[in-house]
Amino acid sequence: MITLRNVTKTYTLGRDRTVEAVRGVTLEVQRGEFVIITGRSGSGKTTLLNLVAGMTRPTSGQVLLEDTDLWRLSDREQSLLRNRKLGFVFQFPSLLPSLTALENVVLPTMFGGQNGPDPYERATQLLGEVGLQDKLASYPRQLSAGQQQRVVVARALMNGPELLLADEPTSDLDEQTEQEIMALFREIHARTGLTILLVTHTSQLVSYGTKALRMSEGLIADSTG
Amino acid sequence: MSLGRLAWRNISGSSFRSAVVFLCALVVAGLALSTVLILRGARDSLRLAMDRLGADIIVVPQGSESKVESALLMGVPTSASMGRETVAKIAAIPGVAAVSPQLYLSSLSNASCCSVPEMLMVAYDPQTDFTLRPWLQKNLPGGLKLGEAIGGTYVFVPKGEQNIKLYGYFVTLKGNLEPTGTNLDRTMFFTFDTARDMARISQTLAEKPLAYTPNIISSVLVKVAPGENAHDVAVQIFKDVPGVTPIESPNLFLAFRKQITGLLGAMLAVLAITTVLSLVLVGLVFSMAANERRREMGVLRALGGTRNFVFRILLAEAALLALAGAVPGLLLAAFSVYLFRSLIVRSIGVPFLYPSPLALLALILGGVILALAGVTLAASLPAYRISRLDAAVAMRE
Repeated sequence: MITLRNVTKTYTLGRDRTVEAVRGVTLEVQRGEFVIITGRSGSGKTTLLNLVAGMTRPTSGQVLLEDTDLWRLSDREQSLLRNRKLGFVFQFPSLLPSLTALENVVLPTMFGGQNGPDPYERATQLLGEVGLQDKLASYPRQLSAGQQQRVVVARALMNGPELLLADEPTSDLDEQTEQEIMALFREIHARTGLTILLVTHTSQLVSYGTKALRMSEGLIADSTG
Repeated sequence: MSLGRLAWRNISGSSFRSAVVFLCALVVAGLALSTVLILRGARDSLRLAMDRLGADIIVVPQGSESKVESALLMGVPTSASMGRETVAKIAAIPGVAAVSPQLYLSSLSNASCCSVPEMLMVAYDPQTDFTLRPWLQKNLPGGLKLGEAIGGTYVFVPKGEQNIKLYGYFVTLKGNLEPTGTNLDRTMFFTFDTARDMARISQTLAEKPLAYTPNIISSVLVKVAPGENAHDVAVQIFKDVPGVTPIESPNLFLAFRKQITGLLGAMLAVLAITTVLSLVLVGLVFSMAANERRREMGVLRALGGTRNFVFRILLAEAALLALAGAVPGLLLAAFSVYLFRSLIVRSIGVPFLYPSPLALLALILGGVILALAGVTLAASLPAYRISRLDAAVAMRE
């Protein structure tokens, strides 16, 4: 599903200062896996996720999504691929504040140009699946952090993605909500067989996945699975 | 969800940014339209006044040039006078095709013998007149008879009455001329015979008799023969006829035109400064907003929005705000200038003509386009910058 071949990402911070966030990583994620990557802050987890999503260009190496080299695609093709095949759950509050929960979930459909069933109907169903059927018309400011993250999960599933990418999805949540959100990921994986790549600094969460990797200083340090 | 709807929802949710851009668009568009309305109105008004006079040269008593111009444009009562023999002297000058004398009179204010407010009255000679003739030939082929008059656009018969009473003398209003925006719109025209008759009646029926002296006139309108140089003819009049000043048509209302030019400079300077400051402010606000919303734009990119989409959504927001500000600004300006037109004329000292509804609509549309172009231009640089960022970089704190 995902193949990273000797991928390096270097950030230039000043005239003479560079930081190598990801250093020659080679990685394969198979379809249907729920991979959890753990590591300390600054270990390169988020950069690795951004590389997989085509949201940042690798300094060297290749990122393949089902044999498609993301960086050989035009901006339009890459955006379309992200829209149709990838779902995202971010660490930070990522709902558009001016839209209701329902409209936020519907949002990805405006980029794809697909003529499917009524998107509002599907969004309503997804919000029901994440336990927010009574919050359709609520704005993000009217929702708790946990509820907002559930809306984000519903939005990530809106276009029926093949891969769900989650970047520290529970870092801003209390312990109980964290477990609820992680249970939601596990339930989605079990029910749909969706491939999930989740990064977190909390090593206790690895039990929710089917495969665990650890990153340290831009490298995949070890794996269990 | 469409791009337009998303843009609308985004601006609805950001009150500070929306208010600043809305106000900038409102002020600039309103100010621009007010400037254009006043300057264009003043220019059109002078042109129409000159066309109305229809003369190549207007000859006035020496020293009364500005008084006559003020009387014709601003309604300032004048006592300019010269002997009627001047007419024959001017007519004898080579190159002069036609001459016609006029006498400027004034009605009384707050007098029971006058049923209209104080206004300029112009007595003309129907035998030689060429100023009113085109209008009369079209609308009143028989011309004006004794006791009849025509008025500018804003001359009316008082409600419930049949005639206009002037110095106790009843004048029948036979028609109204097209608007010029000058005091000619509040001027009444009648023949010398009517003026003489009015003066006679005023001796017994008016609170104060009409100051009319036979063989005294205020100005002579001169038409130059085809092929003759108006300037040469004017120079000749100046040389041959003592005590008068010939004003060539292009130099007519020169003082007013200079005033308009001065006004134009001042208003354009204010407009330019306001526009530049507003565009800089809009640019800064969008730049700040774009930076604040980097994450939001990054999220849109992650969800499948292209760079072009991010650029377009930011420009659409700018365009919507420009539109929302410019339309009320323009309507407010058009309404205010119309409502306070008399005050504006008094304040700036030049007459002006409000444009026709069609011309006004064209000006408003032009204003909307300019506001749209200005605001989207100011927003385009920050929008472009943010759209070029890597989605991952945009989402980083």
